[in-house]
Amino acid sequence: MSLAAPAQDGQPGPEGRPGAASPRPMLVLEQVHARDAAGPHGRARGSITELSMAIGQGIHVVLGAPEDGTLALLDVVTGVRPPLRGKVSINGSDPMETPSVRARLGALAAEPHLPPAPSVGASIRLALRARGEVGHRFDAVLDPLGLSALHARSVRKLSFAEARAVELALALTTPAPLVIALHEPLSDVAVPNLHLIQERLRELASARICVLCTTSSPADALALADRVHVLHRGFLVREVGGDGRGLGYGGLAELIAWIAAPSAEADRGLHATSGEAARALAAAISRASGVRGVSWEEGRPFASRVRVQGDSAEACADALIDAAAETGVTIEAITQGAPDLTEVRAMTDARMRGRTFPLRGAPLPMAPLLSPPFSPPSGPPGPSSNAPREARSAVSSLPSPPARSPVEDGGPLGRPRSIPAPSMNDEMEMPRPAPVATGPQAAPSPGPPRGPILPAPPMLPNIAEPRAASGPEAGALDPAAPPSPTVNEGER
Amino acid sequence: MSSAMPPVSMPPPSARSPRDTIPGRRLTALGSRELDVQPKVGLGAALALGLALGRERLFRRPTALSALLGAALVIVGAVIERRAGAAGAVDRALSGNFRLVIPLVAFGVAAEASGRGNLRESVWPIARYGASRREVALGLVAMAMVVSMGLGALFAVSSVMLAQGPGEPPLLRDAFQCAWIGALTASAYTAWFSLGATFWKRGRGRWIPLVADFLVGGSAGLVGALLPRSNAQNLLGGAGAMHLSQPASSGILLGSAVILTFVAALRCRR
Repeated sequence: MSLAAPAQDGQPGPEGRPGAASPRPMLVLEQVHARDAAGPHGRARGSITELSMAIGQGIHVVLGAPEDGTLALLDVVTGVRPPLRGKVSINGSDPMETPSVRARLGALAAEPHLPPAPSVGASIRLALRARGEVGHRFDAVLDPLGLSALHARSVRKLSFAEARAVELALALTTPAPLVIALHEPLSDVAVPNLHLIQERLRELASARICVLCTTSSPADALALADRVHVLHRGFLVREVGGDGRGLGYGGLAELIAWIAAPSAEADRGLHATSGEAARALAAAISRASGVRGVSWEEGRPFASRVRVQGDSAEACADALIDAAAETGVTIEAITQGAPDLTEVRAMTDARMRGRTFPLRGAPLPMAPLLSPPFSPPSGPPGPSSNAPREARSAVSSLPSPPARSPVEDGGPLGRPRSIPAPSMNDEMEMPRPAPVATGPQAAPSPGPPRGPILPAPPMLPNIAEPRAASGPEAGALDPAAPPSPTVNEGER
Repeated sequence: MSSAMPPVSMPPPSARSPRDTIPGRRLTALGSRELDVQPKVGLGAALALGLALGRERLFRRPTALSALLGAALVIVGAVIERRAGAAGAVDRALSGNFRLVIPLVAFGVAAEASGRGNLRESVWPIARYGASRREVALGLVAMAMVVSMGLGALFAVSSVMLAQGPGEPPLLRDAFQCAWIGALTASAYTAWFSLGATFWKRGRGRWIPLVADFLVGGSAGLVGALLPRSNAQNLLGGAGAMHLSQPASSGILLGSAVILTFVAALRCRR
């Protein structure tokens, strides 16, 4: 069931095997401005502004609502529409202009666009032909995700979720993939077992393939990601590890245990209802070491639940298991707690308000685009590569932004000022955020691999790591502090 | 307790096809994916994909209804002209056919082929998987052209046969000539509308050549010489723009059909 091991020889290129010995960014965006067309009458619903990122192997999740620009980001990555400004490259080639790159790009868009055909099987055959695959392998696309029943259905009569499921199946079975770009892969897809999707994505990431997912669900992001990148009003503003620390206000790990009502007479001797069981479990957990908080909620008629917060997920799990054994409570399911998008936005807004930034227009010393071990490619670039010269010669820094006239900025040079919280209609006065340098330092291990949190650029405030609770600094914000009363972001 | 299960018999590995489910293998197991790069989709394959896309979009109820409506107009027009007077009935029927029915039916066919949207976006369901947008668009417009040409020839022949009267040219020769004129004219219209569909959202630019053809297509100047209407009139025996000869009008129609199709495909990018 595992992917074949990638080749260890030679440089990857559009025609070569992915996964060369020295990892390099597979997907590069440079100062990209883009809009989607997902609004009514083809208007833009979201946009991205001067977005720069370079990502390689692993699962990278961009967290944000469509209004933050996730659809626009996916559109430029998958080649649906060109960026308004900037460059997008996958393995050195523009996906918009290079069909061979698109053939190795597995994509799941917000709106399904299956090839029109009398049946789903015929539609898949068209897609396989377009990818250069021959043979009748439509069952190899649908069967692994349990979608065989859709094979003979008419494409026009598929529901939205079913059409997305077929597209997802096609995306996950892309041959020799370079990048897999998925929008909400765990939401609104008619796949019977969502764990298969997670398994497959892990498999792809382990085979050194770049997986990019966009989602507005922090829970889905934490379930999938090695790295979570927060997209906020068109800017890629911060990044956290796959464990989600620093994503919301809580810096603690959280597990949620679901307890159903005991069904058998024998079980009812201990706890008559799930509420009683939850209460007892919570009381036992509160005595455990490593636990920082516990709460219980009685669900009628549904299962009750107990929330446990601790220093780590392992500590929470240990406390749950020990308490369940002590009280005789049967736990039906355990899920990882996650902040909702409102809390993530509030945290992002608060961090951005708490910083002072250099005046816009002053040339910002750019942090290295990629931290080691990403090394520049040693050979000459391929003829089809249209990567900029800087990326070819030394994949270590972005070109400096052009200096702007002080008249345009309306203020003198060199005087720092604090920037107020941006509104949706504001001209963006936020500084250009540091390019997000990503990539695991080592090959991912079995289980949920977690990448390191990279060091912050020297001149810009560190918003990638939660701040330690040490002495106050100018503009510092304690992530454990309650949210500012002025924070009021819209729902996702 | 149940007795031990009998051993499962399995075909030898050499006899198994890739589609056999191996006992013990989870049905939900994802197959292994080769990391070999697939060969590029060539021009022929991309054209075939475009033709398949066009066939799927055109051989549906909306196109059939358009064709039926056009046929009804042709039949009614021919019958009316025949009853109005036998002399010149064919010419009058053909004139109405080429002025109204063929342009509108070609417009409908071109719109359906591009999914009633922009041509570049209409090829995305295939191009997203690795085929070139241009080549798929070429195949798509070619299929639309084939359908339009068939309908144009059919309507022209129908007008000739239904409006035929004494004093008219021989039926078979007249029908054959009008058929190829109808096919050529419909192909030129389809190319114009397909090029227009590469402009603006939802391909609304296809309305520009339609409106221009209705307004100035019959003029005697350069614009009239470029648009299909006056060239079709010239081929049917009427006066053409800029006093062009009939071979010149044929050349303009054929050239429009070919050149504008390629320009429309080029505008779709790769």
